[in-house]
Amino acid sequence: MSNYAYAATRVRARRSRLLGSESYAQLLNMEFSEIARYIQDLEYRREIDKYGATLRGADLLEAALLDNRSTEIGEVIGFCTGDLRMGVAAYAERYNVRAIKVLLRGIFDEVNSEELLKQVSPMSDNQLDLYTQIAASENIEGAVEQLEGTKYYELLQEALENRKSDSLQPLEDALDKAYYQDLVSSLPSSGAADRIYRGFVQIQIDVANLKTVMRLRHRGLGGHGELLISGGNIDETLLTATTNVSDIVPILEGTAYQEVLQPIFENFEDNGLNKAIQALENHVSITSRRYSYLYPLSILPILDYLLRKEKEVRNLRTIVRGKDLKLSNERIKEIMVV
Amino acid sequence: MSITDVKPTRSELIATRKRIKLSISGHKLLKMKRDGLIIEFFDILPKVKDMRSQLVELYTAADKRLAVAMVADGKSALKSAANCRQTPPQVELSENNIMGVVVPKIKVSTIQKSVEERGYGLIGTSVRIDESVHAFEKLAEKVLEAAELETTMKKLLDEIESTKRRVNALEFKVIPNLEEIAAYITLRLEELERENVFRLKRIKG
Repeated sequence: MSNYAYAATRVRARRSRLLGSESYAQLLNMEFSEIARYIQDLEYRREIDKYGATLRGADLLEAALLDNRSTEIGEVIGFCTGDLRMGVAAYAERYNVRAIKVLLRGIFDEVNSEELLKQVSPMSDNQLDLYTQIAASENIEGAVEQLEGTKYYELLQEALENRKSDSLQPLEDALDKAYYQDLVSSLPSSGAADRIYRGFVQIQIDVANLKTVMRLRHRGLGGHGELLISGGNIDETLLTATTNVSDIVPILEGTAYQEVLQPIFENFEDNGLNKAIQALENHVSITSRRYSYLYPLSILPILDYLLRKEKEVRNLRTIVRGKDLKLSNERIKEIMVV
Repeated sequence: MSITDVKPTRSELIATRKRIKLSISGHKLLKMKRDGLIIEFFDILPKVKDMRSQLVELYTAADKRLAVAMVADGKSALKSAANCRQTPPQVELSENNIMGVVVPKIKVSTIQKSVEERGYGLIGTSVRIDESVHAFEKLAEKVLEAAELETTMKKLLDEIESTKRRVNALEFKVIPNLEEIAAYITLRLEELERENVFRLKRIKG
């Protein structure tokens, strides 16, 4: 039995503790040390204390922010029950997939297990155990063996057998595709809120596909339909048929993406790819917020909270790193997700 | 060799004159080599200057891209993407000869890769990391091109310097010294000749 009302109330309380857009404007006008103190006074003190002995400066703040995000997501999954818990966990699986990829890359580059574990933030004790076992592997094959019993084992074995070089790309893409396919297959089929949730997942898939296609076409690569995820609103076969970035525009006609991307595509040469991706990320953020207000007793407010948390962590990291690297406030603002 | 060590004999005079001739022709050749090297140096200098400004430009661009990637995706994501590297850049080294100066010739391969050859997944990684990698690949390629030109220029400069020293040594030390020796031997031989003539006249008288 799902506890929508309870979960929605708890995330509402947590949402009220997130930073508002005016706080970012204040942070942008602070010095690095002031920002560090400000972040320490937010929800991140525990994580800052945890990493304080081993890390310094922007590295410390980044590690603390990421760790806090993982803990927060773990807690949210923890207080959800039934289908709601499954839905939230399916969405949050993206962080697990990301961590597995980081571990595989580290093993590939022979990074020692202690160093490698510092690069991932588990959401639960079970994940920590799994990551520790993977990090202790001597090679990629061994790491994949450690995943036996998880949904990723077979697909990674298959990717390992079919890969033509020792590149990790087939493994990583298989993991990412599996994440989105799982998200689609876990979709409920009835109710207005469920229809909206389906729409939300489709937006995620469309954005992932658009990012992949724009990136490939920008670098002059055609085809690669195998990298596109099915289940979105935009037909993957049409996207696969494009040969350059300008071919994408007609496909988007009549969709919300046209409005988002059209002005950027008109002047694509001027850092267009980054701007387009930024615009798509903003679109996801705005849409999820709208959905959460429409159906307060559904999975959507919880997902909206997770996205907002992700956004807060990302924006704080952007400000911290930007200040540390002496980027101008304007440049930092451009990179932030509004 | 100092004058005091010289035996004032006719054979020594002939040998000294041969050495003077050799030194003069060596001096002439070295001067020609020095001038040739200077021409080569001035030929390569604008290329090096241009290369340096290109390097600065590429480095600034790559640094900016790296900063943007680090700000947008975080250092951990960049570090992790860097772990995917498969093969280190390959370079082929050969030699080129410029007026006796052996300079390196660097052929660069497999530095710039397409996105699908970089080892990381294309669905889940950020385009900013891609752009940063691309900018640094371009920079690395240019650095290797610059290494060839800079080494060539440095070797040419060293050779010009040492040739100049040899030319100056011949012009201001070796040749004047040999000419002094030749003049001394000539003087001593004439002296001996005069003594001989005087001795013969006294015997006759």
